[in-house]
Amino acid sequence: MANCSQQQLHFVISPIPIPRVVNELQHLKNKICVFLVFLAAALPFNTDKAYAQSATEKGLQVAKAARAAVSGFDGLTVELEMTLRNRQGNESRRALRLKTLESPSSGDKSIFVFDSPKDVAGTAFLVHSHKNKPDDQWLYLPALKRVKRIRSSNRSGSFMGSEFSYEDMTTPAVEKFKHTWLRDEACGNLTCAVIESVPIEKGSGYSRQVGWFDTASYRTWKTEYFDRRNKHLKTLTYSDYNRYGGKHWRAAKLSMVNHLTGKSSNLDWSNFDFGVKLSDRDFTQTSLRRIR
Amino acid sequence: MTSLKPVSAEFGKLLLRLVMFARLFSAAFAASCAFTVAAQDVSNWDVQTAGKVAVKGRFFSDNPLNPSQSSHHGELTFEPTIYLEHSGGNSFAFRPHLRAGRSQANAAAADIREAYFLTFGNTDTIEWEFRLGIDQVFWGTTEATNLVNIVNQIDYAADPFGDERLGQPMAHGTIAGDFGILNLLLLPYHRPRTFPGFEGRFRAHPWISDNSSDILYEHADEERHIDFAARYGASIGFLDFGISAFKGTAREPVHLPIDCSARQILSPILTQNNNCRLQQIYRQIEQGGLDLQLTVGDFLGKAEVVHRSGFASDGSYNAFVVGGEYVLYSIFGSNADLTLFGEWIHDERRENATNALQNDLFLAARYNLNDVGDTSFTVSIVDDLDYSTQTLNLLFERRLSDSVSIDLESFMFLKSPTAEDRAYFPLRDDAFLEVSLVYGF
Repeated sequence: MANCSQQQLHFVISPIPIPRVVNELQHLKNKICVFLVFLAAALPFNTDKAYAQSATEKGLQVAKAARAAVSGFDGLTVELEMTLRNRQGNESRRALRLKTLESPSSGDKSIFVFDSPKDVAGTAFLVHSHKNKPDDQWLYLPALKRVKRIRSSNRSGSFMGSEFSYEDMTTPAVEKFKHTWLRDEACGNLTCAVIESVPIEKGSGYSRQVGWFDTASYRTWKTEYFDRRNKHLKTLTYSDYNRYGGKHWRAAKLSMVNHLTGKSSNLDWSNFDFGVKLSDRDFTQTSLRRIR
Repeated sequence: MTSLKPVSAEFGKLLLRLVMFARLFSAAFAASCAFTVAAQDVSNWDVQTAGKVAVKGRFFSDNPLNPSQSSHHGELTFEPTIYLEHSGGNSFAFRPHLRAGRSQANAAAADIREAYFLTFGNTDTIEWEFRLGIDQVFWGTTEATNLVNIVNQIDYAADPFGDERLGQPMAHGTIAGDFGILNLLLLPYHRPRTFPGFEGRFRAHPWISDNSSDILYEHADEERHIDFAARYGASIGFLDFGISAFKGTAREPVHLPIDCSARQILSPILTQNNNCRLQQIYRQIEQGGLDLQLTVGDFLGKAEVVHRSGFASDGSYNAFVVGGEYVLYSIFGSNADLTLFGEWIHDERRENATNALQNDLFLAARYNLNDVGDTSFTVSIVDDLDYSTQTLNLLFERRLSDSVSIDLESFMFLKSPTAEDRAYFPLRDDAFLEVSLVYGF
C-alpha cells in the first residue's frame, strides 16, 4: 500500500455530521426523582407525647412520625410498575427498578433503571440527594453510552406523563410544610390522624395537602391535593400494606386519581428487598455505566 | 437509470469483512470467555435479551446532483442485545447490528457494536473496571458535535448525522475514586469510516470509495497499528471536566481523488461511472482534548476543545465548541417544557477545515409535551458564520405504544450553500424527509 505521506494530498471535505440535538429524554430527566417519599432519610422523631399539644404541634409530630416510619433501612431494591389510565380507560405502562442506599448523614443515593416502554429501556438515573443544596443527578443513555450530569428537577411537572408530579414523588423535608392536626377519625379498623400540610416554599403546584395517617404505625392511607385555587385536584390512596423484615411497612399499591381530568395512575411495588448489601461504590458514574 | 448492485452480493462482501474483523478479536475473546466460564459455576449465569427492529424511509425532494444517485432510501435494521451476567458480577454483552436496504451502497451492513467481557471490583477507596472486546465509548458534553469523542469510528452509512458509531476493539481499564475517574484504552484495530457510496445521497463528489484498495494508512502497520487513548474526569462543585489524549491512527480520513480526469475534478457531479473516486487516507495523529460542563440551576454550560497534530504536514490546529442549554418548565401553564440550545463551533483552520463546522452557530429548541407518548418537537438551525449557508432540521418523536415509536425528521437548507462552502456544497440538493418506525423488544 502506498505511503500516503509522500504524496501530494488534495484535501477534500467529507460529508459532515449535520448537528442535531440528541433526545435526552427530557421528559424523564427533569422529572426523575427519588421516590423518597417511601424511602426517605430518618428525621428526628419527637416521642414526647405526654403533654397537651396544639393542633400545630400535633400536626408536626404526626408528619415526623410518618416520615420516620419509612426510614431506618440501609439498602433497598424494589421494582415498580406504573399504569396510566385516561378517561376512556386506555392504559399505558412503565416499569422500572430502583435501588437506594440510605445515608442520614450525607444524603441518600439512588439508581433508577427503566425496563419499559422499550424506547427508554436501559435508561438509568443516578441521584445523590443533599439536604442543604440541590441534588446531584446523572442520566445514562444506553444507545449512546453517554453519562450526562443533569440539572436538578422541576417540581410541578408530570412524572412520565402520569398523574404524579415530581413534587408528589419526592416529598420534601417535613420542615418545608406547616402542618396542622385537623381531627382524628376512623379509617377502616384503624384510627387516623388527619393532617393538613401547607407548603412554606414557593414553587409548589398545591395550596395544601391533607393526609390520613393511622395512629398505630403512622402509615399513610390517603392524601388529598388541593390546587392553588384551593380546588380538590387529586386523591392518592395507599393500600396492600406489607411489613418487611419485621419493621418496614410498605404499601404495594398507590392510586392517584385526578378529579379534573378523570385520568388516574397506579403504582404497583413489588420485590422489596431490605436485606440487600449496598455501598457508596454502587452509586457512582462508573457503576451507572454498567447498569443493565 | 442506475443499476443497483444486488443487495445479497453487497451483503456477502460486508459479512466477509465482518468475519475478518471479528477474527482478530475472537481468539482473545474466546480465551477470556473460556477462562471465566471455567472458573465460575455455569449455573450462576443470568441471561437477558433485548433489542430493536427499525424500518426507515428517506425521501429526497430534489433531483440528485449526479443521476446515479437515488431519489429515496429504505432500510431495515435489526439490533439484538444478548447480555450474560454472572452472580459474581462478571458479564458479557453482545450487540450485533444488521442492516439491509437499497438505494445506497453500504445500505446492507453488518457490524458488531458491542461484544465485550466486563469485570469489576473495588477496594475501600478505589473502584476499578476492565472491559475486553468490542465496545462503544462516548466522551463529550456538547450537542452540535463532539470534538473530543475519538474512540469509536463514525458510521455515516447508518446515519447521515453521524450519531451511529462502529464497534471498536479495545482493552479498557477504569480506575475511579474520590480523585475522579481515569480511563485507559488500548485500541489494537482501526475501523475505516463508512460513507453512503456511489449511489447514495448526502455524499461527497466524487464519491468516497470503501474498497479495501482505496483505504490507505500512513503507518506500515495499517489497521493493526496499536492506538492509545486516555481520559481523566473529575467534578468540582458545579463543574465537571475531562482531559483526554489520543495517539494513533486518525478516525477522520484525508481524501485523495483517484482515476479522475481534469474535467471530472472540476465537475465531479458529471461523473457517469464510479471510477473517479476519493480514497480514504488515515494519518497518524495526536489529539489532546478538554471537555467541560457547568450545571447551575436550569442552565448547563458546555465546552469542548481539541488540539490536533499529524493531519497535515503544515502543523497542528485547535478547534472548540462552546455553548449551553436552558430549560423553561411548564410553559404556557401546561405540562410541556421548552429547552433552548446554543453553541458556537470554531476550527482555526477555517476555510481549510475538513468538516462543515469551521465557524458555525448552532441554535436549537426542543418542545417536550410530557404526555403519555413522550411527544417532542425539535428545531435545529446551523448558521455558517463564514459562508451564507443555513440549514434547518425538524424532528418529531412520539411513542405509539409500549414497544413502537415513530420519528419524523426533515433536513433542508434555509440558505443554499455556495461553491466556496466546500463541505455543504455537494449536499445542496439533498434536502430530505425521513420516517422511521422502531419496535423494541
